[in-house]
Amino acid sequence: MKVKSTDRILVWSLRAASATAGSLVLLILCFLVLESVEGITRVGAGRFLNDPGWHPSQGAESEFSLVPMIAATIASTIGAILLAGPVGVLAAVFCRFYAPPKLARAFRSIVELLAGIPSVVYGFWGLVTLVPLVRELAPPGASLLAGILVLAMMIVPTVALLAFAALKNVPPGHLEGATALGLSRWTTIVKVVFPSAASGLGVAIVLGTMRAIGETMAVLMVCGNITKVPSSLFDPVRTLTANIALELGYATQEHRAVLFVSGLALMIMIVLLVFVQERLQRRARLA
Amino acid sequence: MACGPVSSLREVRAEILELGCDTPGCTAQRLGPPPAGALLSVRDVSVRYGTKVALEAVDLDVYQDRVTALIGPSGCGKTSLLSCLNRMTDLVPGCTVSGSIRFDGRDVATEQDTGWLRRSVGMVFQRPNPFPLSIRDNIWLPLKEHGCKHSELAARTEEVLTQVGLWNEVKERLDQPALSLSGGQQQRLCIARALTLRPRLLLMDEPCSALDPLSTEVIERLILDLRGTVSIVIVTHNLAQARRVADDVVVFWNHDDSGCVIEAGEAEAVFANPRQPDTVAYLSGLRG
Repeated sequence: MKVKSTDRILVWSLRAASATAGSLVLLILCFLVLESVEGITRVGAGRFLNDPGWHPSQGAESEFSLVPMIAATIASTIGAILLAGPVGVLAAVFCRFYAPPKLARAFRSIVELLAGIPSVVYGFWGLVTLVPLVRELAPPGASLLAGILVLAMMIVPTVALLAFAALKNVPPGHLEGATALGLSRWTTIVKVVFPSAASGLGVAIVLGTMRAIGETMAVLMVCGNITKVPSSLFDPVRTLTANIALELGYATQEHRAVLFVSGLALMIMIVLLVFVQERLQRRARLA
Repeated sequence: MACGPVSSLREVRAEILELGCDTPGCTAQRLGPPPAGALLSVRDVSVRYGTKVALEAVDLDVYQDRVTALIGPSGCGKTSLLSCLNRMTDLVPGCTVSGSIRFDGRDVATEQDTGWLRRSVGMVFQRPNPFPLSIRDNIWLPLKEHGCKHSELAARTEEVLTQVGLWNEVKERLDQPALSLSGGQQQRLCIARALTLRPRLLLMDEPCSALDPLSTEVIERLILDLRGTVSIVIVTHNLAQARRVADDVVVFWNHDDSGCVIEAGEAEAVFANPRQPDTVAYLSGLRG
């Protein structure tokens, strides 16, 4: 009987804990949607895309185009993942198949450490080191390129660790089969390991992308924060996240409501990526 | 003691009681220099994983175009021996192999050209392990890797798939994933994949243990069909299977936690007239 009653306590505390966690997410989502609805109805959805610019605090003449920020977010994320994806996956391949065990362990600890560095430190480093370097190439330095580079550095560890986990999940039978057929290590990796780990590697890339989309502090510090659709890598940009962080403190009325709309836009991007990730993971389980 | 054909279980039990466990009467088989006709000669081979001795001083010969079954209880080093023969042991960290393994006149342990070794010695594993590619690519991958001409790929594919009796079942769907095949078909595909490189020796590590009885029967028939075209070394726990497919058998046993060979010879002779008491007990199902 005693076992049963402790069991019941456990079950109920587990239920309470998961209900809290689940309802928190729902609450945040509801709050975002409610606040955004106000913005959408008062400003009108079309204006987020069609207004000529972003001048949110000028009374009746305010302009609410989110296009520059959405473009900056998408451009910086794609750029970062194009750099960090291959580097992270190749680092994982090195760690799993080429590095001697001791080196691989050391390498993984370093990557884990990198994954834990606070983003403000990356931003700080980017501001004092990367931005001047970019400025030498083309002023002003604080730019989309600087943002891409900092973001890439930040998500390489995420991609590498998840890709490593995916590579470790490749059934040993595939590797033994490849060795027994005398396949070279490179053929084995490209023709056997990658197809087998494809879904897991996809998940690594998607989670890295999500981290890049949501990153705020570091991009805010190195991107220059001008609300203009970038025409080159050297243009300063402002991402959706940086925009919210910069303006929410003083925004009122419609301005404030539109910032919630941009938060909702971010949330939609993340939900889409979570959907992709779920599908990839389901495929990984089936394979 | 006389280990003639055993008439009754009681008789065997009496013998075992008389001799006790791990009888001193059972000694590891020692052989002289490799005979001229042997395709593969193993002499004094020991396998260690770290400090654990998995296999101690094994001697055995494998002859051209015959099916040699390695039998014995679990954990007596049959699979360990098998993986030495094509140097799969290289993959296992901390595994050391000592002694001499001569295949086709070359020393396996020091062979630099592992590509040659693995072309000449194919392997089929306990669980079917087709690559997560199409049926066709499973066959083409090793062929391309070992420099087969593009114009020959299709013919070689048909040849090996016919050889394993899979051609008619899959010829319409060569581009489908190999993992969509049934377990038995997957194992036959793996055998075909191993045969594409035209090995002289095929190693099979309990190839039927993950399969249902019908698929097992198909694989056994395939082994009998292959006899004469390729030499086969098969590890099996299934004594009835060894009786059905083997020309020669090698009996492994555990002595002091490490495996050794206690008896070897032509299958009929060993099954009818086992010389070692442990073999008698094992074959009659009393031990092992």
